[in-house]
Amino acid sequence: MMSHFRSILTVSGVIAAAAAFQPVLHAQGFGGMFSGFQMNGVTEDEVSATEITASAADIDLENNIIILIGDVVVDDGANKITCNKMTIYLEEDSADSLVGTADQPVEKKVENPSVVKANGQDEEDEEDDDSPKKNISKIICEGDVVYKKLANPDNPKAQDQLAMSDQAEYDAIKEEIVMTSDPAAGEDHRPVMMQGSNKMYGDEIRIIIREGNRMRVINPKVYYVGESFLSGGSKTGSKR
Amino acid sequence: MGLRTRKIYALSLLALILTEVFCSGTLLILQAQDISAGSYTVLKRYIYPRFSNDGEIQYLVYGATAVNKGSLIYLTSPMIDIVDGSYTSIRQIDTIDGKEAYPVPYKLGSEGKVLERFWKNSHHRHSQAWIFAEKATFDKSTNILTSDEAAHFRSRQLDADGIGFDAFNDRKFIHIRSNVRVVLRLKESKSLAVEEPAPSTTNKGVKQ
Repeated sequence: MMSHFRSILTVSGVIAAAAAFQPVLHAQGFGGMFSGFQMNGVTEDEVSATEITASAADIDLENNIIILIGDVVVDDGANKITCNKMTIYLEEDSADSLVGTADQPVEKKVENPSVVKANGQDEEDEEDDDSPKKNISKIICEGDVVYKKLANPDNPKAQDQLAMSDQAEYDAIKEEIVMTSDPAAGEDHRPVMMQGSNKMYGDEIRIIIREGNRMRVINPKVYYVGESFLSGGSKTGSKR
Repeated sequence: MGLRTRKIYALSLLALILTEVFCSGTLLILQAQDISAGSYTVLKRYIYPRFSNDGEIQYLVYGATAVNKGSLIYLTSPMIDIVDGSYTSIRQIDTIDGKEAYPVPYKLGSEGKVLERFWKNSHHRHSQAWIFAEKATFDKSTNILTSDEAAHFRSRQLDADGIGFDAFNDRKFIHIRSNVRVVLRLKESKSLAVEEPAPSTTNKGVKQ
């Protein structure tokens, strides 16, 4: 009977904890971090360049891969992500370049524009955007990935939010960011979300950009919601 | 043979020996200069195209001066134009032809019209990327360009600044050694894209 009562308490605590996290999780996430990368669902004005710093970089133009190595930091003022290595994959975006309309069919030019210019035409041609373009298909962050969402300064009760994992992958097609860790690495490496003294562990932390950067913890196993809940809930797992 | 004659003979012999020594020494110096001059070439405001095994232009190197010593070329203010497309002659490309010079054409993080002016310019439309540096050394035997100086990489998708670089031109692979700052963009890269470069049909060049 006592153990049944305790389990009800635990479940209640879990629900309360989830409810406490939920409004925050819906509002935040680091999809905004990669706003410069995403095109679907945003206007052109919303898209901006993203600045990244790192210790070193490898730019592979032949394979369309950019690797940033060592102390990688992406910081746009409201969001910050750090990791040891970031790999950016570009791919040819030929689909939209081949789409024409009845009024404006796509014409494939054959002349070299530079030579055309040399033959006396205008130096700049603003209307030739029908070429294969490169898009960012995915970004993989590896090694001590830390995402920090700064609290809204206008809201005094708001707190910074942290998410940590061993790896994070941004999939531009799915418009998702998935933070994961190698399960074999042990409990200490499980993805974790933190806000204030609250922590939430899970197998994955998923940020769904198309749903307003909703953050979802997949298969949550342990909740720590402040010291008060610790005394009533199960205290398994380990702290980071 | 009198004493006087012997003295004259001895002095003549000494003069001959000294002459031989100095003359041979001079000859050696001249030879050294000749050898040096033979391998020491200075080019100014040059364009140096590099071709792949298939005969396509991989990249063009522009710069203020290039000093060739053996297999190494020491470049000042080099600008490397990494060519995208199947060009077999430099005459198919609208080269900058001394119209531009180092430093970099636009700063890291530039937007809009500044980018358009560069990437839609006919001199850059064939380009996949550019690298700018104050100095660099090109090894002809390995086809690797290296520099310890500040490096500036510019492309439609991303710009990068850093200190020191190694460009493995055969693979179109650039390693920036330290202090890297990268600006990624998508909107600009789409709007900056130009027609896929194609070999000229109006101004055919000879395969070089």
